[in-house]
Amino acid sequence: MACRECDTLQRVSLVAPGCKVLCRECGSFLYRHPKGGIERPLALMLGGLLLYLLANAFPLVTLDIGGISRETSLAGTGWALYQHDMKLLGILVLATTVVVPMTIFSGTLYVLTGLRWHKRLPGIRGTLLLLSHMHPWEMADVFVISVLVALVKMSGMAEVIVGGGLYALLGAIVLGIAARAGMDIFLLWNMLEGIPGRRHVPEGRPGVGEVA
Amino acid sequence: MSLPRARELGLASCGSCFQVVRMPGGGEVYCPRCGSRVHFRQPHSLSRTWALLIASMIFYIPANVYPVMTNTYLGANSSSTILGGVALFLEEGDWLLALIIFTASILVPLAKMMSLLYLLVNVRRRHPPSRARQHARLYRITELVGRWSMVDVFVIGILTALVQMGAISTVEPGIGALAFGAVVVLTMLAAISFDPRLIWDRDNS
Repeated sequence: MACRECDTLQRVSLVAPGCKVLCRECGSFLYRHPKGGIERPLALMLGGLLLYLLANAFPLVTLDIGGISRETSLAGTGWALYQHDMKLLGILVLATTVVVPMTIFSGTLYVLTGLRWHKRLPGIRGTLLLLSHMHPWEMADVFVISVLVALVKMSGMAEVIVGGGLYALLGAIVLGIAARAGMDIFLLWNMLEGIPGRRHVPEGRPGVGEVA
Repeated sequence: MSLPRARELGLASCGSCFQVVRMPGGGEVYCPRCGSRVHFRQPHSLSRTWALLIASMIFYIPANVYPVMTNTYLGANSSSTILGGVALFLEEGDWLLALIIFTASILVPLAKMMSLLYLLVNVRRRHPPSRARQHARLYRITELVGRWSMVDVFVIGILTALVQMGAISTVEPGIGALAFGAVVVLTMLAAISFDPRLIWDRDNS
């Protein structure tokens, strides 16, 4: 394995569950063997996805000024910006708070299902590839902080009611973090390689590198 | 004890799945495990990071000069910039919120741009491994904190969605918010295009 940060080549063996492996040269993180096998993140992700769906189905916050009330949902935030002449910003908000988290929850669940039952599900390699690069763009946790800031900002001028959607969103984020702590991308790729079935990249095709 | 570096042995680590791949002399190489293109180093890493960083610095100016939102309350208009929003929280005595917004919207983007600039300037110089380790840590932190700058953009979105009370009070997003969103995305892309392995390429060359 070569370190991602300093390119130092080193032989790594599978460590005991609960241990992590650091680069011998620069000390950066290489991989970790999580406790609890693959069932743990699978269960947490399933719970996270359900809570996330609930968070989208129910209003996050309701605002009440003298009998006039308005509520917003997760998607409603990005949509509001889109409608108020901020199309690009609206799309960015929708992508980081709805599309990306949804893809991560369902995509991870799909990959874990395939790995758990040793099935090379269609598109599983592409899904894992997508997930490998998606995490910086997932901002549901940042969004929750924003909701709290907005709540305080509005509390002076109107009555604010916290909806069930916000609690579901909090739960989904906690489960998502716990699930991620139970997975390691390097080991997921190793497991996927271990599943028999049609290889999506034919070996020996020109341009395909040789495993070293 | 000195361990070999992958490139010295003609090997490269796949950017997606960590597979170590043997790199022949020329031509494109794809990872046999996940199918992504494999490079010794991210192509044009430094020029891409420079370009994205400069673009984000340019957008940072309108992001702070123009209002991020306009609040109409009983017919009276008030526009606020990012800094104005922090000042408002301070006036109201909300120290914690002022601190959160100040950190997320002003401190983090500035620190990110400064640290990327510092890394880009220093990556071409020789330095001892201890210094390289510090640079690598700086890069790791820079990559990690970028997302949190989105707080203000989300707050504006939530207020726009909720505060639409007709004649009583409305909130409209301002052009500053769009510029600020661009700063966040551009600095994140800049951090992603920087290849940390370049930090270590200098100390033994």
